[in-house]
Amino acid sequence: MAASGLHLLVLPGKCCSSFLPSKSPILSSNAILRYNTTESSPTIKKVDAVATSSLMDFGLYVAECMPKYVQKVQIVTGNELEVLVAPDGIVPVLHFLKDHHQCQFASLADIGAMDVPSRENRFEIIYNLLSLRFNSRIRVKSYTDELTPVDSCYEVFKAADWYEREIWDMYGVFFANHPDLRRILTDYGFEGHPFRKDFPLTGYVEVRYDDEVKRVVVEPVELAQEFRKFDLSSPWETFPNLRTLPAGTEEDLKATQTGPAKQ
Amino acid sequence: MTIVNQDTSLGILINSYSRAGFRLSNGMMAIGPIAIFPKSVLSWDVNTAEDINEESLSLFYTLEPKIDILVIGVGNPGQQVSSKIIQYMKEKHISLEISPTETACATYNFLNAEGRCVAGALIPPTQYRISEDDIASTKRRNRDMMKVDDFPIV
Repeated sequence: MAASGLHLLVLPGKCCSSFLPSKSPILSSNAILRYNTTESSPTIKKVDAVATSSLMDFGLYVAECMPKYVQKVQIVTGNELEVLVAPDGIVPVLHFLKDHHQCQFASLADIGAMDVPSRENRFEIIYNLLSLRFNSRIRVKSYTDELTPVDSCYEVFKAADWYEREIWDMYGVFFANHPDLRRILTDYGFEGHPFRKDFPLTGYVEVRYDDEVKRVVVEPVELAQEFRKFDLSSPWETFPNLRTLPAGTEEDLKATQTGPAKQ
Repeated sequence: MTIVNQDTSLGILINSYSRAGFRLSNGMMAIGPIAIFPKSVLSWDVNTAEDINEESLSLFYTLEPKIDILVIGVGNPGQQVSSKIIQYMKEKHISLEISPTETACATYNFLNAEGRCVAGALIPPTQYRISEDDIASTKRRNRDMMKVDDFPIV
């Protein structure tokens, strides 16, 4: 396997017993600041080096099995594996993760989406999978913009039905080959996609009961008080220890691998 | 659904649909595309979802009291309504709920049962799922449950 080949590579200038590549996350300085602490308070997360490294290995294995679609593999916040795929490869990669004997991620825990308006492909689609057999989780992330449809993974996971309906309703991401893509959370005549960043918090319309016409009418929203935006640097700013937090470390596994770089 | 449909104070609700038309809760059967309101039902002069134009929807926006939502059943899933029409209805301040007829019937039913001002514009679907229950109730209606059918007609 190429992964074991990488580990056996003896890097010049390094001690022979060092099998890990030089960008090992355990030795990176960020990790040292955060994890090699002698504090033993129960609120400080302890890192399990063995679990993290086996997670790294598995991430590299997935990247090798599906080289056409997997663009990046990373571990975030110490113990969560993420696989970033191209949008064409969502269904193949999910099929692989569900059916392959070494993966067996048979449970789709969630499908979410994230809107980053500054990007060209503003929506990120996030699939969270759980393997009951191996007791582990994995996240598959992909991207799309407002107009490009994404393939529905209904044939792979039946649970995707309502999750994809929710993403269609809230973000406007169209899922091709979905059995029944319609609104699920918003009201029947509702226009707009509420979870987009350019949709205001109060919305555009409000409903009230009008006694004259004796029914519920829909009118443009009128705020009784001007909208106040609280500018907090972090939700944790009241705790002195946590006022400056380091950004979540992302150990980039694919970048350590030799091989053709994907776009 | 059939139990709710028997409450006549809610207005006319749709009991079932088929390739031919719709059976309504007041015992009537309407053939072909229909325009359905809480108190009345009319036949609608439209071929397919693409043929919907301003004229075919003129009835809905000239009505008093003004309806809140117009439920459009486009027939089979995948049929499109022209986006100009959607814009046009938006200008008239009527919300549209466009979906395949299978789901549009149910949507119309419970919007009506909730008491909202809703009208339905439904085109019968040509492809839809048939359950054993549907075949049995058709036979019961036609009083030939004992007959063995090669091609069950619903």
